[in-house]
Amino acid sequence: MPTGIGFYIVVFWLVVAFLVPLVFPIDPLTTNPSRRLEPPSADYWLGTDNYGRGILDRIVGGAAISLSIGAVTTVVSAVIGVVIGLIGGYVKYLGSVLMRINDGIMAFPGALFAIVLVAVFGRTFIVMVFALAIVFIPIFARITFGEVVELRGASFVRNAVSVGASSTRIILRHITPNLVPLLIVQATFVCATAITIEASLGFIGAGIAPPAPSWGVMVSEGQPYIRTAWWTLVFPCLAIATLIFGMCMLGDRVSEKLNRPGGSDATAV
Amino acid sequence: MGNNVLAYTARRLIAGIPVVFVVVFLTFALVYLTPGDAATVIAGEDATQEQIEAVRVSLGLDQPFLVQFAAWGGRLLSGDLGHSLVLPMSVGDALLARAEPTIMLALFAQFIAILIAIPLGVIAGRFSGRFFDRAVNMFAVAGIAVPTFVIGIGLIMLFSITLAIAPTGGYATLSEGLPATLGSLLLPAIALGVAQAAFMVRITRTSMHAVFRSDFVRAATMRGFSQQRLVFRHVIRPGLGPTISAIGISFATLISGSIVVEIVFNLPGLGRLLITAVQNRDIPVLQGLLLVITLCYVLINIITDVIQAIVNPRIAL
Amino acid sequence: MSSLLELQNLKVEYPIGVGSVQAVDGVDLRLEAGEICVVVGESGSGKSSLGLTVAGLIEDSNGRITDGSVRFGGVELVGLSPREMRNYRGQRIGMIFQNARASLNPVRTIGSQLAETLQSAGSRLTRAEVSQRAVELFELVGIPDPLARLDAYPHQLSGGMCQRIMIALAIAQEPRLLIADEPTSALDVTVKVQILQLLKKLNRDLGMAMLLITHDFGVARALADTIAVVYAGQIVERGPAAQVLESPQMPYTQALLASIPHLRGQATDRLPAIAGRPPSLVNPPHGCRFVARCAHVEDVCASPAELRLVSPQHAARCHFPHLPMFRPSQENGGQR
Repeated sequence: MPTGIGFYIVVFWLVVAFLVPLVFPIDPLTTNPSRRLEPPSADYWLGTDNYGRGILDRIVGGAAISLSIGAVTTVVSAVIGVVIGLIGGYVKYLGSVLMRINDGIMAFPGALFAIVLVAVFGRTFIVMVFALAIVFIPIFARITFGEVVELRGASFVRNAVSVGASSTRIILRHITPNLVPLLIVQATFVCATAITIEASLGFIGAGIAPPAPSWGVMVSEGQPYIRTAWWTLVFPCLAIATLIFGMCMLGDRVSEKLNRPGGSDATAV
Repeated sequence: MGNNVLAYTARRLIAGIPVVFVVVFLTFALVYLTPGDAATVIAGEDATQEQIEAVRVSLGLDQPFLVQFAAWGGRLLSGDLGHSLVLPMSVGDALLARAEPTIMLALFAQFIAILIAIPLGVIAGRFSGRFFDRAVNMFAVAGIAVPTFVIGIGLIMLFSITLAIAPTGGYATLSEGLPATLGSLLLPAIALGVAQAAFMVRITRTSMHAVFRSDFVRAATMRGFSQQRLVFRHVIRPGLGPTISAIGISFATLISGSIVVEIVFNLPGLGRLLITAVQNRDIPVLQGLLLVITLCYVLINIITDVIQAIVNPRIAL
Repeated sequence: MSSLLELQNLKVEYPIGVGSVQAVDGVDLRLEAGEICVVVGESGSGKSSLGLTVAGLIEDSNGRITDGSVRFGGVELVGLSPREMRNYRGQRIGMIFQNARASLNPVRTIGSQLAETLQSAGSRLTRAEVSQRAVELFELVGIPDPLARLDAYPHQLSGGMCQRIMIALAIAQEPRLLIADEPTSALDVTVKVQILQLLKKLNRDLGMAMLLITHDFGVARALADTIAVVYAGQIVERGPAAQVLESPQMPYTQALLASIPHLRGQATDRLPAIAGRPPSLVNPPHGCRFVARCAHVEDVCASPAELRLVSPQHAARCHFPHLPMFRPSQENGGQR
């Protein structure tokens, strides 16, 4: 179990996002016009925003959004991507066609593509997941495809086939040990990137619609008050920075332990 | 050698064609699938059913998908990107009007990134495993992880507000002189450049590390060359290959990042155009932006491949 | 009068986490001007480390000199700063390596690499002078059509050609000592012979001393004035080539010579095969290090064996030199 800074940071935010609301009353949505833009105090530990909502409450709420987006997107794109990669790797002629399409999709700058998709189809959680998944599916598909093709040519696979082993058995026994570590490493960085894109989209106003407490939205709401109410800006920024940094460190550690390359260099989408 | 490079360029351009085709196709498909009825929107609120149908026919929206695609593709080839639904100009004009700040920002940021990443990468590769290398690595992870807009805001808080030595935004056009332009772009370009540099420095460091340990550098050391000569004449060129690829790959991040940076620093570039289009659901503009930026990206990748081939002649074979 | 190169009690180790590998454990060696000494040993014996240490490259390979001295022309090289060491490299000590093509800069033409080497000797030569000198050098190392080679890249040339170019680059500044680490191991048989002849010629014509490191006794036979046999970090036999080849005193040397198939006049590139493996060098054994594979072991072999002179210039590290041993004979082709 890889530990280290990254791991602890991610665990911290998981606890904040999903356990804290079970114990404390967290209310990110109720506006309170009489208590706008108050600095951190005993009542509101992190202050309030321009609608009178507690910053702390909204940060907790935003944590849940970020982590959910990250997790769901990663799982969805990994599953679909692997299936596509497997199909492409096994059905000979389909393979190169699928990979061409893959390259085409990967040609789109990820965040830009997501922005356009969300703009076209609506600013909801589901659409965000869908848009991000489309961006990330090709990554998983390409890794899987590469592994399958490489192993298809390996002699021990051909031996297995000649002895009569079925294709599914070959997949499961021979390809997975190589593939799974690669996928795990890639998944951590896909998750980090998904969270980054969601935050960026929230910031520019192209993400999940308010009043959902997306951290990115919080930063953009806080920017006009940069001189007068720094807490509306600084805390969401710190939250975003620490969570994503933690995920990247975790990913680096995971890839070290599993001895696979990939690293943070894989986040350019 | 010149012939090899030309042939290689041609091959890369040809290989790019299927990718371009898929990009164009997907962009069109996206628009086609947009919920809502463009004919209704254009015809206006008071239009009768017949008038809406007339608009639909005149725009060719009643034709099957492939026919529409062909028509759209044909217009594309003649440079017609359509007309904005909101702004009183064609998509092409809208893009041109806003292109300058974005292009200047991207180039400036890339320049800063190279200025930071290559020296740091070379030094980290030379002293790999030691403190400097670890510090650079941590900086790199932070730079990659922290979203660009957070970096941008951080820079504003530090330099504009606390230290008050830089403006919080705004853009000086080239007509006001290059120094003014670069001055207004300095903080945004640093924000964007740092993220780029973080990505590039790790790749550079790994490559340089390998080159420092290579046989030919060892042999050159045995000919009595100084560290300086070794680094500049024997390590950098062979080691630069992956860095150049990295520039191409990460150009997408640069583009996405510049959108965000333009919002943070209030620059009137393509990023702002994008946001306005998103808010107004101005589909033709969105489509045009997506297409143009993606095709630029494909082109940049081909260019970096060709530069690679020039720097490292083995690739062109 | 001091020798050109003198190693005294040299000890080199490679730290590996919990301990270190004692790659070179107390080596004494002497090389006179113009002499060719061939250091023979199997892989892992420490022979390469020896070469790297004399060249001052051992630290770049994560090694450390823990004891002993390396004197070149009377001057101590151990402990020199990198800048001081630089004065020796190229101008006084040159080195060539096993993989010739990998030792040439892949993105620059041969000509530019050669020009750089020629000009770094301090004097500013004109382009014409550089070309002239380049052609002379290339002719010296036997490269046909020298001018055409100048514009070529390493990946366009054959292995043998690359090796010749590497030799040319190494001797361009006329060093007095050339260290060669497995210079022919990666070449095919015919080219091997040519390179060996070239090295012999350079030694004769330029009076350049050579320290050749190899696993191949054929190289020793072809070139050596003196031979030093290395095993498990120590020199186990040393002497004039003829004596070592004709009457090896140490069982390891005997076993090596015996296991080489004597194909008529052909150099072999196969490693001699002796049963067993060398001892671990992380904790070297106290006694004689060859006991695990020696046919003549006695009780006394549990104590350390010293290098003993068996004739005025020939020494062997064994408790029982002078033991009647197997000699490769002509009838049965040297097979055991």
